[in-house]
Amino acid sequence: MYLNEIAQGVEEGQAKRVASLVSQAVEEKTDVKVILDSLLDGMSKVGKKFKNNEIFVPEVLISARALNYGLDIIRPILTDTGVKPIGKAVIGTVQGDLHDIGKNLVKMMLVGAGFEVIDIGVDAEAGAFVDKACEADADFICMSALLTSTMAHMKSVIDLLCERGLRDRFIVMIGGAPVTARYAEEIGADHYTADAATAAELAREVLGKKS
Amino acid sequence: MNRERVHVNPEDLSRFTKMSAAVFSELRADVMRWCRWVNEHAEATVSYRRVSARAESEHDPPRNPVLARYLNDNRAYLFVVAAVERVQEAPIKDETDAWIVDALENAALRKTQQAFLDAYSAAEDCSLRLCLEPGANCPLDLSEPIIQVTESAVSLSAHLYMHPVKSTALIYEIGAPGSRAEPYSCDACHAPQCPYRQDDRVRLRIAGRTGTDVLELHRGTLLSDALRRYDPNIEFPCGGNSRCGKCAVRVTGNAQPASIRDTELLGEKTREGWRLACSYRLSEDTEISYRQPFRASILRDFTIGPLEPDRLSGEGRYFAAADIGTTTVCVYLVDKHGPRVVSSRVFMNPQRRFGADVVTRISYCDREKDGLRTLHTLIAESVREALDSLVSDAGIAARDLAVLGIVGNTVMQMIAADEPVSSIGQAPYRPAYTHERVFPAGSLGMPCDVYIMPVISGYIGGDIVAGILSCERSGGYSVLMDLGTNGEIALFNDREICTASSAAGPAFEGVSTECGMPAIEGAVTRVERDGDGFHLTFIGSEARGLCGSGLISLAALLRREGAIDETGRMIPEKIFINDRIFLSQRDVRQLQLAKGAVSAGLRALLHSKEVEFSQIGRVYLAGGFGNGLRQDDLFSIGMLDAALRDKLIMIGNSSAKGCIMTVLNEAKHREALDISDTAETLDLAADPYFAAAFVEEMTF
Repeated sequence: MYLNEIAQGVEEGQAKRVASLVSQAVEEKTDVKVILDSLLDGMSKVGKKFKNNEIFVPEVLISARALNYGLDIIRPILTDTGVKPIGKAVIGTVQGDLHDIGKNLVKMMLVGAGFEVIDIGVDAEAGAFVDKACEADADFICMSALLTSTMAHMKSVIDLLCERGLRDRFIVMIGGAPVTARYAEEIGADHYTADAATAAELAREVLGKKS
Repeated sequence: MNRERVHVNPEDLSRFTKMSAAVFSELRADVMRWCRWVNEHAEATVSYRRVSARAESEHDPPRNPVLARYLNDNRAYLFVVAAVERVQEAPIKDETDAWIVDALENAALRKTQQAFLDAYSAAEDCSLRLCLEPGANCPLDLSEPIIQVTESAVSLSAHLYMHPVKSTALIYEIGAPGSRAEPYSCDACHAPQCPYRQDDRVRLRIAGRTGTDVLELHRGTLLSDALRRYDPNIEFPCGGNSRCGKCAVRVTGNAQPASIRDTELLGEKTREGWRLACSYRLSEDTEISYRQPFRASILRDFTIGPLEPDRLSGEGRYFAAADIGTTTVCVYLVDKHGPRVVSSRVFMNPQRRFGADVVTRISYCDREKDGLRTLHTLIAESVREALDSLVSDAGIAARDLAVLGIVGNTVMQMIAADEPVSSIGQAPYRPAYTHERVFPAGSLGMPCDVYIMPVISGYIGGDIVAGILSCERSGGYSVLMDLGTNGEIALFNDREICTASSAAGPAFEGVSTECGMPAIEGAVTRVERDGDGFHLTFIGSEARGLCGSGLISLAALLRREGAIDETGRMIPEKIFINDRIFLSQRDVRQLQLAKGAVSAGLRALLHSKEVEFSQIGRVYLAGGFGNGLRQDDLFSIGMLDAALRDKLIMIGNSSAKGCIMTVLNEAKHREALDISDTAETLDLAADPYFAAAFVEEMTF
């Protein structure tokens, strides 16, 4: 019964309210999978609104925080009951580039779409992307670059994957202001999206096709 | 270079970022905490140096040859590097914290810059204008010479990142005393749609084939985007990447220095002001010259019923009619055999640069020496040019034209006839005469005889005479509404005619709204709901903007769905119907003014004649709406009283049609003279009933 309210709480960014609603639902032995879905449902609405310019970065941030408050409570239960994330992604801003807001937005949307996301931060070297992805057995490598001078490092990561014979093991997604679909094609990345919400949608879709 | 504590407060966050009150209150505790932290742990520094390219008593000119190209030899500049640095790592938990700290440090940097610039311009008694911002309007690597010249401690990474991260390196032009300095503006930014953008507008004057138009745009808009709005058919072969040089336009007023790209692609032409539209950002009021090709009107074409051409027997087979509106002008070529419209031309009235409505045009004629002459020449030359193009496209000769009929509101007709209009501008608003006029070929610069329609009064012109002519007058009361920039309304039966004119503004012509356009190719004429999205009906192969009927249709849909409330408030404030066309709150307000004026005008007219809505048999709707407009929509937005449902008849461009009838047919000609003689006019401006009704009718 709290489920709609949980989704709405995430949508409105009320972190404490979401936390108390989720705790209550857990106490009442609501299926944890259902709680998870209502949290993600709230975040997916936020993604849609963000994509349509109805809300801006601050709103997404507080919604993501509310989502995390809820996830923190159910995470141990999810692990115990063996509910797995729908996929894993390693995300980072490439070497030389310190921009993180866009990368963080994509991260939040991916979490909101049910992915486990491993964030390797900004100014991340090619090796870090590849090593982390192998270590976590990730499905995706997601790279962000905001400068024309740093976007070339996206190619370095892909080159390194090829060099180690790992290119087919990961799906590579890229984004950032100077990046285009054409650039993705040029450097041999699998996907480009223009905004964070689309990135999460696409990731779900791609994974659906793969399995 | 002093290090200073920064001082930010929660209001700075809400001032520099757009966030809802709900979000702000949710974050308030964190914001307070981070404000304290930033104020205790961040320090600001500013380094600067005055530089002139001529050196002399000042410091050396910059050695960087690229930078030198951007600077003018005769000017002095202030190089400024400002930075805000944390002296301790911030205990950031999550992205929300990170964002708050980031936004507060941005605010701190901005306040530091503003304080420095204010102090500098006060001490030196000069103004400062941001002119170069590396990465925005000049290459990013120009940060390096700025940092060197100011001897700032800020360092640059291999990828041109400044350290500390919250640093700016900017060049200001030092100018005359007086105006206030801007720390940095949204001018040079590459994101005109950014939600945080300061709503700051500049004017772009476009001198085209038929005179000058003025667009109001966000400061920093790309000239190519502005031109796309002005001429939806304009093409950018290289996709706006400054590679082909095809989008070059001549900047005639306030030209910025040519960029490296301009010089590479346009060479010597840059000296005459030629610039690439796709890389030119409008940072201040600008004037350009741009010749837009003629286009045929689509919606405004119509057929003329069977009519014996008894007035023009024996002369040339063709004649023309020019419908001169305050905003748009349509010229039609008509074949007497049929009779039928062969083809047409539509263009913006070139007099628009001297005012959007008839009142400002009259005052221009009064105020300026040769004002009337100027306005007359503009319209005469543009009609003549359209006429020549019609004649040559039809493969006929100018001598095949028997006559040109001119129809419009009284002021437009008088100016076209080169006759004084000042008496219309003041009480009792009477024109010098109301009768028809005939001019022999050659006298108004036209290749054939010119016939000008009789009028009713100063504000009820030949367009309404012609409009009434094309309506049925027997069988009880009828209403004619002509919805242009002026909303004229006539209430009539076969015995009497009473008319009124209310200033509706240009919303119905699709001109004043943000994504507005005339009803030509690319115009959305109707909007319907389709799942979560919209289904658009538009002219041609691609939807590019909203014409009057599209605007009404969209507003009606949103009103029915509740996104627009009774008072006209729209939530959200901007609604996109595809990836580029949207309706804004401002547009809705424009529409409210327009429909309020028309609807109140009709009420006042009925009130003065003591006629009830139920007594009206037919409502004729004229104007550029054409077939796209659904009658239901007019009722949804409350422009017409519900009692008039099922009585609406769309008659398209009735003024051109009536003018053609008058020229062709003797019986219609006599009727036109009779209407002009007998019709009464109600002065809405002096009518208290209208004033009260207007306020009421503005709501939906």
